[in-house]
Amino acid sequence: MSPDIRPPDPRSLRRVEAAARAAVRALDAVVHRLYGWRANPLHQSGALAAWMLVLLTVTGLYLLLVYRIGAPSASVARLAADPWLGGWMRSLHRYATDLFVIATVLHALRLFGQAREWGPRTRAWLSGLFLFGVGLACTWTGFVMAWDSFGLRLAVAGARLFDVLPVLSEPVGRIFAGDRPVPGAFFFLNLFVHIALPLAMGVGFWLHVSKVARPALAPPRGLRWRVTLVLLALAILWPAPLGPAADPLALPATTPIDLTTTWWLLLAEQASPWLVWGVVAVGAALAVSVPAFARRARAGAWTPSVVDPRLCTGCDQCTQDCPWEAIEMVARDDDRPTLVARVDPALCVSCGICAASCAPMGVGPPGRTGRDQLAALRDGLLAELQRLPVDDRLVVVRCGQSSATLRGRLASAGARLHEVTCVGNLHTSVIELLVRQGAPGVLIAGCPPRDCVGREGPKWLEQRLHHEREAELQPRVDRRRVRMVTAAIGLEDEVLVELAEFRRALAALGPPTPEIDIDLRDLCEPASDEVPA
Amino acid sequence: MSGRRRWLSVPVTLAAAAALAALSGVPVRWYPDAAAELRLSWSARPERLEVCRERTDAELAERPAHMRQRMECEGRSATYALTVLVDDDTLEGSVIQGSGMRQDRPVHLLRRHPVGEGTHRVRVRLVRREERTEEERRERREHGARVLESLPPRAELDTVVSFQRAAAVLVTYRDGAIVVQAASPR
Repeated sequence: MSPDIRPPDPRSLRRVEAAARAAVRALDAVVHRLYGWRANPLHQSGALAAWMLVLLTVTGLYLLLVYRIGAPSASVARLAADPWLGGWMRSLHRYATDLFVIATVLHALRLFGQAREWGPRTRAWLSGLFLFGVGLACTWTGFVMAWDSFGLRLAVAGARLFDVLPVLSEPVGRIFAGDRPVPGAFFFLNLFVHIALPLAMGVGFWLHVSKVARPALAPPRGLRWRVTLVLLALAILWPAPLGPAADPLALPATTPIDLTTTWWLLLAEQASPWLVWGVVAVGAALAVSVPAFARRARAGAWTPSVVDPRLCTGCDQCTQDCPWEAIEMVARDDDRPTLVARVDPALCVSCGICAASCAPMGVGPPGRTGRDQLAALRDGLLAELQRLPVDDRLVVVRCGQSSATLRGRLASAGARLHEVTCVGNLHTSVIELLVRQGAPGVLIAGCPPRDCVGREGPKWLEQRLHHEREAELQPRVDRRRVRMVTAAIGLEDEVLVELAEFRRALAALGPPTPEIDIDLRDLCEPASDEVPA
Repeated sequence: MSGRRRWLSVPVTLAAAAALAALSGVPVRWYPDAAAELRLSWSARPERLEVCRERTDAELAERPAHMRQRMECEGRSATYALTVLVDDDTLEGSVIQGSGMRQDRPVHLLRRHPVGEGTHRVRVRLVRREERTEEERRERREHGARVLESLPPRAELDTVVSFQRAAAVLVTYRDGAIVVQAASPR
């Protein structure tokens, strides 16, 4: 490497990441206020993009039936003029393409801002880039298929780019010069590519989600159909434009272009082809290298989970709960008859979900296992609680991803705060210990379920609290003293309203009944005969 | 979520949908308003300039059996000087040659020259740059058919063309001559 060329400083990327995170949070705040967190499409951007692919496939199959390679522009014009089916089907196809691109960009921005693009997630990032690139190429061929003035413009711009490459002996641009009809082979090839690319996207999509357990492949039903209906209404009321049939010898002053998907066209037309290729190459290289520059040292909050084989009972729960399929059950190397969990550090994202899934507290990132959580609680908040009057002991367990505004407002409201990296990381023994040690109630403020950086934190916690999922909250704990609330950015008021309501409910319950103090550490310690010598 | 916000979400959704539709068909400038264009487009084989000789028996004997061809030809493809004038303005003066690494493939030409609307005198001149040797002349006579397919040593178009707004006039090479192909009717 030349001494003048230095790799980018990771701190620069951190600043970009922080800016992206701020942008995502600002957008989330606005959307939450408008639609509520349940219907926030930004949380479902990836699933929304996947749903758009479904719409594109369905509408595309119909369009394929009526498309004629021998008369491309005439067949598309006839389709667009059909008010009953063809017109809105074509427009729906177009608008779904636009939304696919928008959703993909938002999805990438969100994951980048949340630092969810490196390490074990590198494959998902790279395959996502592939999907995006192939998607753009597919839109290109799709517009050319229509063979209106916009399609011709794209074809000419594309030919301009490809003709500088030393690949084809005859320049592609001559096909569109007008001295002879555009050969049918061109439209056939274009159609073939337009169909082949989505097949490649299928492979990319499989790669994209292959390392994720229970991937969210579609948005929730309500959002899915609302978005579909809005696009459908748009397609009917505001059909996508179709320019005049392509005429290579015409020089129209303007053409209607789809800026959402072909924003690169102006650069491709105006700049030197080599400059365009350079921009593409540099942009692709930067995007591909993001996981390398975003990589963190696997220490502190990023330390992979470890298993204490002495405590592992082989119950398999951590394997089931891990959102990244990073844990597998393997044979033990001692004489106990059960299997033992093993974490693959290359797949573990340190979300800590497993720490809360293990009743004997034998797995989790170092410093965040159930035992570590109990120890930290005893050393910190519990001692503080003992000094407070009962009415002031209400504890709010807050996800560290929630807003700083919320932290300040909860503290001002007199709640005792306990922060966790993710509510899915919160072991139910911690809740039990808080209630047993005099907290009148525990309010757990987690992220919206589809926006959890640990992917399934709120879902698993809710099941551990109320549906007896393993490592469940023990029946002896009064459920009326434990409540979950969603702390969505921009909706801090709702958490405070919930807090006030919870306080009233707790006041009606009266002070917590003193119970026998059980040392949970002793309770969870494996029996001496289970511990190998 | 308050009722007021819920109602606000309706116009915001409509606005977002409208923005999506509007972005789907933004009129963007392609050519200048009063643009007309002189477009040159053709593919034609450049003339092959070659000198052939018969190999001697000794030379043939040195070669493997499957390579013992009596006639040996060495040659190159001709290059051409292209000049384009509209009225008295020279729009192009360049050298064109065959495509491919050895320049022995057809000449593929595509040029676009903006021209003002109206009637103009158009001159397109294509002149072979290489002088032919006596040997090459002889070869040319012997390979008459192939020579006919290739660009002639000199071809010229000198005509008056009416350029219309927002239309291209196409000049191409056909049957040994540079000709004007009618522009698309406006």
